[in-house]
Amino acid sequence: MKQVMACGMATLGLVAGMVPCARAQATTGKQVAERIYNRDEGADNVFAVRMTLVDRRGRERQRTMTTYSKRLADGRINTFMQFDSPADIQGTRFLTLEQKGEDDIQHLYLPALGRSRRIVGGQRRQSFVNTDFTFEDMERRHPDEDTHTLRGEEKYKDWDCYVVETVPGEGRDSQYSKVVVWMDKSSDTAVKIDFYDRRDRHVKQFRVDRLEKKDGFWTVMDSVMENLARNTRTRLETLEVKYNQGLDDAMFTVRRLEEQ
Amino acid sequence: MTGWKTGNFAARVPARRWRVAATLVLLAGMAAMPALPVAGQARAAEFEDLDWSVKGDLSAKTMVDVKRESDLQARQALDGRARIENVLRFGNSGGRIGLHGEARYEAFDTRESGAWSFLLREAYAEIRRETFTLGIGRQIVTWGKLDDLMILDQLSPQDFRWFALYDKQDRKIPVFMLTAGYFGPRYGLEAVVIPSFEPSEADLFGTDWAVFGRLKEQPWPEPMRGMVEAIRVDDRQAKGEAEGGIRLRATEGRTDYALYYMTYFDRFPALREYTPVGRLTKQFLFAPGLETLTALAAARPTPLDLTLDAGRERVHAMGMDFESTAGSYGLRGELGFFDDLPYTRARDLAYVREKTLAAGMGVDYTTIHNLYWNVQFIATRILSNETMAGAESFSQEIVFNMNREFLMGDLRLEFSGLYQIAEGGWMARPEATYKARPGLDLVCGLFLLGGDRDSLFGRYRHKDMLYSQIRYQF
Repeated sequence: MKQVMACGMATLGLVAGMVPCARAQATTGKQVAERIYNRDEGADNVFAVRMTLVDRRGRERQRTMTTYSKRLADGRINTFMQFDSPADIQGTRFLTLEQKGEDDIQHLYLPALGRSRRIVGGQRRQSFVNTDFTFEDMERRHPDEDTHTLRGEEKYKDWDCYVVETVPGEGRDSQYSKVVVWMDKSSDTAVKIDFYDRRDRHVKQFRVDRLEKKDGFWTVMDSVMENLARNTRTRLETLEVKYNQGLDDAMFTVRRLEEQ
Repeated sequence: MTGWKTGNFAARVPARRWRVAATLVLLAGMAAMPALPVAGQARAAEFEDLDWSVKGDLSAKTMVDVKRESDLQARQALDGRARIENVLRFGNSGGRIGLHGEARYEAFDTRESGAWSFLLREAYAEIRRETFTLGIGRQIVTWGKLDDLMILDQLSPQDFRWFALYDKQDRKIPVFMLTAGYFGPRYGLEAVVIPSFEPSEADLFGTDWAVFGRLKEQPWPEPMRGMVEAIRVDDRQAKGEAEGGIRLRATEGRTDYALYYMTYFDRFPALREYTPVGRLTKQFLFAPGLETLTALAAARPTPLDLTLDAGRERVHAMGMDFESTAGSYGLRGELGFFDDLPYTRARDLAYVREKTLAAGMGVDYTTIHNLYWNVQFIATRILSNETMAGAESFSQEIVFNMNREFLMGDLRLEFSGLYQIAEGGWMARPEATYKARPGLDLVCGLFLLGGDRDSLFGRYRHKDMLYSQIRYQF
């Protein structure tokens, strides 16, 4: 399941991508999952994102944030995220240090606390700062951790897609019984994801509305996560993106997280 | 308001005439909110090598005493303030300058004048590079891992003039300091030097939250009234003394830990007598009544007998903290050993100093429904066979917090509580915060205190407060 989340968040631009990989003709679900996992998003990237939360009555709340991501030599990705507005959430920061084969290490900095705090893995099913994303949705999971089945090929909007169904691997815990992913063949981007809860109910849907090439990298410019059960949605718009900025390793430390 | 001044840059001038003006300014500030830039947007002017960010907040908090014990107590109080934070960053040089200002207006009831204060809160210059940091200026230090508890977080003085009505970080008072830090891949070493000690700010007499409350305003018999009014506390001996500490931080797997050494002066006064008769003065302060006052009067006290010293002496402290995770739980803890903390010995009310050990442990968890709870336990052992006045030789305290957000974060309900097991004192604070629009919070809550009269919280059990606050952040 992690792998599918990886698809989603890589698509969202909240998690950096991997090194460019040789394009292979996908013939299995796992190969599709690997293409998404290895999607090229530069050695590092910086996204300025506007997040719009829409409740069931159609009322909107907006937030802006900046994410910095960097790929390490061993393929892991570290991410630093900070909220820039509104003022009541400004200064809230997250640091995610990806781990191989185990839960990521996450730290949260709240200005009111004056120091950072470790976030526990058990919070993965919870909403991420009142959005329609959970912490699990934001994880990258290696394709080996789940089981992927190619369901066929289908056109979604203007994109020719592979459709893959993913279920959690043996012994893997997830809030979802399965997810179905539509991957655009030309950009290796997950452009649509359907999420099913443990009772096999279709509870959430992630959709890409706009995909553009920026600095040579396919970039999701506009997307939405819709909670079908609660009738709420979270829209993400990329305001600005920069790739290969030479981000310093010191950016991804608790020290930087706690700086004013 | 009796000043237990910190020596900061405050111009805390009682000014009755300012009262109306203050209220008008606060109201005008609130009224001007819609005219401020787009809510929540930090204004930033970016030049080629300079980044300037500005943020701040306007706040007005009103408090109503719902459980008054006497007419001397204030029925209501107002605490209004405006804060603005400017940070200038000089390109990629790692240099930055921070200038944070505050204007504050505080007033109790209608019988007392309010007071304006204008503070240059934080004012510092820093250089931050990949492996080190150097800083100078007025700042706040946050050490330790526990929330709203202070075992190792001792270096910044605090404002206790409103007792515990504000959270720890909000109570902290910036002081001038030098900071340095080295940050290696696995270890970090930080040092803080405060060249001149500044005490925490607390009133001893004359307000509802004062240590000895409105003792001097009680209707004591006329011959002895002047004697009560003559009681005073000196606070001189620690002024100008340096303080500081070092912290070694490291991470091993999923656990962060740190070792500490600090040398500082106790922030809160422990009264020391100049003369043997001074103990009778302390006896009256600790157990005010006609009996203790008569005993003091019978000793025919001199002005020196009625003068006490804040009793600040240098404390050396060593400690460690850690933070980790275990499954779905967050774990953190602190351990501190304090050499020679000041106390008052119970049998003769003498000022003594004793070694003290304190340990605290905290666990937090968030349920699937986003209900966050945090429980912390702290135990303190005075390493002495003597019984102390106002302090149990072995005390334990439980601090509890739970909160949950509703309406996509627009409504936040929170409950905080504290129970002192040995002393029997307690505090409870339910609070609701509603985000009326981005940046604009409406807050209401209850601040309830109770327990044994001798306990820290029980002594204020007649001060249950209903409070409301309007706060705008920009």
